[in-house]
Amino acid sequence: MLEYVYKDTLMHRMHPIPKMILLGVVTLLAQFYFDPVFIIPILVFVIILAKPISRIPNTWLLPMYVFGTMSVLERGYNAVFISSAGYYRVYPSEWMITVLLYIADIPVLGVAKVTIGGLFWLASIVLKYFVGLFSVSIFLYTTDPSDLMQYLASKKVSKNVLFIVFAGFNFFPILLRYTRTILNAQQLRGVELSKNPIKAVSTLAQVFHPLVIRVTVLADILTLSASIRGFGSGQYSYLREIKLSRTDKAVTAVVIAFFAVMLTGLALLNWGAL
Amino acid sequence: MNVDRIVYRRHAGDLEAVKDVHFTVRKGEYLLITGPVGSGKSSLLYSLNGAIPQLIPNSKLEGEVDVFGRNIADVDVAEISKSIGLVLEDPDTQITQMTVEDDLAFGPANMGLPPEKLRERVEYVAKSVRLEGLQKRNPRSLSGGQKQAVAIGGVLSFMPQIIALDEPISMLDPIGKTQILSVLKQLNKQYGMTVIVTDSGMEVESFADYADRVMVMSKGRMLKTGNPHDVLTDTEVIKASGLRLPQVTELCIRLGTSGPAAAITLDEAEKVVERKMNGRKLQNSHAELFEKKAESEPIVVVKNLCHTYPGLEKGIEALRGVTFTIRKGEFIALIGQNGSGKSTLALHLVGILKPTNRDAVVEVAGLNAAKCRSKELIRRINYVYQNPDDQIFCEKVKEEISLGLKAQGVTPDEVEKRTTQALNIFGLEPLKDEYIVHLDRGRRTYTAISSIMALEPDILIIDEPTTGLDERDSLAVMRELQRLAREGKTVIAITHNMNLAAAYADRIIVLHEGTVLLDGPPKEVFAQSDVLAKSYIAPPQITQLAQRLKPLGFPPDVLSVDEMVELVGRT
Repeated sequence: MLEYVYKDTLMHRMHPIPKMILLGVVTLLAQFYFDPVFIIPILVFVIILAKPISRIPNTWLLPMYVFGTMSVLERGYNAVFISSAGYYRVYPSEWMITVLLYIADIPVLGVAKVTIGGLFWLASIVLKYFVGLFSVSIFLYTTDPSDLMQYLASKKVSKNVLFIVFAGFNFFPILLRYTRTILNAQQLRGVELSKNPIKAVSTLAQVFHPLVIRVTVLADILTLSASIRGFGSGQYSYLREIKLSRTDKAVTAVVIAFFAVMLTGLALLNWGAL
Repeated sequence: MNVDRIVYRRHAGDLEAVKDVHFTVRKGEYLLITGPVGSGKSSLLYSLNGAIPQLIPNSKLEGEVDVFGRNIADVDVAEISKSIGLVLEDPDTQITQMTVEDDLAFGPANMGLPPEKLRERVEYVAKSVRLEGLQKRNPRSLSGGQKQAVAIGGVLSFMPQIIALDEPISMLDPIGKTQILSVLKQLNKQYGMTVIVTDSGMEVESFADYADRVMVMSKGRMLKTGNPHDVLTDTEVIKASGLRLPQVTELCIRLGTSGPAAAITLDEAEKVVERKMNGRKLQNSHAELFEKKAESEPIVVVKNLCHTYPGLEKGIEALRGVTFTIRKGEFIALIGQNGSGKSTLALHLVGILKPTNRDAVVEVAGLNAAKCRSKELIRRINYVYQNPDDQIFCEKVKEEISLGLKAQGVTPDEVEKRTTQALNIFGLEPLKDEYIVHLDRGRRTYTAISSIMALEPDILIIDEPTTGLDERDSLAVMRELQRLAREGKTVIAITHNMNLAAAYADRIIVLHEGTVLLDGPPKEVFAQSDVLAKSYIAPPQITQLAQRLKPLGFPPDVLSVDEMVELVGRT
């Protein structure tokens, strides 16, 4: 999970930089828009990139799904306080502030209620999360870190930045593997997450204790493993030469042009606003 | 390389892990540093390329290490690594890339090797360390032994002038060990590569054939250094350091050939025994017909078990229709080449992994392991991880051992009673309030095993119980497992140590490419060396010797030095 898996797909073959631009653009656009009508096509696009094109298995995406779903709960809290007509520039404000469900009047925070506009806002936030999560997933799943390092090294990027890239790509996969091993080992000792939230927190503390110990030494381990393999001691060479193909260049040009058009629409025509 | 009276402390004020060690290594030498766990071998190795003290925080090194005339204290580790390649004991620590080929290429790529040469180098190394076909796999998803091969390959690939390896073959299958050592010898002879390797004594037979010089360490000090014959046949030094003699050396000494004249390799031992036989042949000796034990009730039934991991284009088939039955009270050794599916199989038995085919049967003590709740299953069967640190969660020994009991809702009195019993199994009672992080690998392994034994499962699976342990600790673990089996518990030990499998197991199951290749008593299994070779397994050294001596009438299923002495004595 959260790490590169070798496959022969269009996205795997793509140069890391155009790929980063493509995924960055769709993520940024999704962040700028608030109208789900605009964000849904973007989400459909990244799902197509992730599933039929990059062939990312659901098991790999599982943490992303969990994280995205948790965001609904977190953001739902904010959504019930959105009730001002002034938020809306495109949709009729009277319709958007229509109350579907009155929840409670909370001192200091105000009246908590479910409105159509609040639901639109919540939907857009959740969709944004998923666009971002799918984009990150596609990048991590299809990009061999050594290709990216090779590209950065060819651009004379400093050793320190290269190390950050190196450590970044290694850190989370290692952390996830640690977590999975610890959870399995705890399951074998009969330590399970309780339905009682207080007990569940104490169990989680037992997971975090060995995890924290390992994380604290992880930076030292990565430094040791990089140093003893001569990292930063000379000019970085490469196993596979990565070059910008015509397709890469065409995709980059189209994506940038599309981004410019959509940003113009956002600024001048309120595209994507509620 | 000149090592001048170095003293190393892990932290200022600590006791010395290495005390006043001095030696010189000449270009093209093949040096084995051996000694029990905690004797200072790894610390010594890490100080040879400056990792100690440069990369180990708060460590303190006195004395001097000069390599090619430069004091390594003045050179950056990344820089000196071009000349001295260091292979760490734990391969997980060393793997840095997302595919095997990228990991093999990482070192030489850092040194700017031209792309064509880099590709050639990666191809050569992948072949040498038996990683062909795995180049696109994620190294972290490979088996322990395969990861060890990646770690070695990742350093071999930049062809350092000196290669220092910390316990490099402990997780490899027997033929894998020989292959790696042969490659090192070849590079040593062909290119003058200097090889410095450590071993805790468990692999002494493997190294005896290859090393030019052996250094024995104990409690941070160098006890003896010299040519392998002088050192490995010196019973006093070997005994004082807590090591053991190679099987063939022990045989020679018991046959009356002691001192440097004793054999340390198979070739030499063959000649010694031939001389002893003086042209005579053994009469009426043949492979023993195995007497079947009275069969107890089946406790584990596995039928047509398949498991495919996600990854690559079509997934990775780890198990392909495994079928066997294990009976109550059996001591099983599960062996097979690296990546043959041993750990995957074990994780199915404890319910962590589920079969990927619908018609698989995994019945453990009458429970369906694929569907049963984990809490129920772990009362019947449990698993000790290969790396004790994977299953240690508490700060102190006693807390760790009682954790599982408390999680299972055992009464406080019972927790106390069973924890005390478990602490006594390996003599951990005096260490019960110690911080686990301060214990050596042997004590951490004891803690991990004891914490599972406290749960009193009917079936205990133990993955590579002797990895990282020295002779004394390994024997203690194996004897305890044997005691459990005698008391009616079922023990399944996954191991690459054929000597221990031959000495302790009642039955051996050999896995090969996800299927059962052989299944029978040790004598029956180890007699079939041709079939075993398919799974990169070689019988114990003494069995190999008996098989070489077949023309003299020796049976192919001799498993111990005692048996061999008795056979020679018959003439």
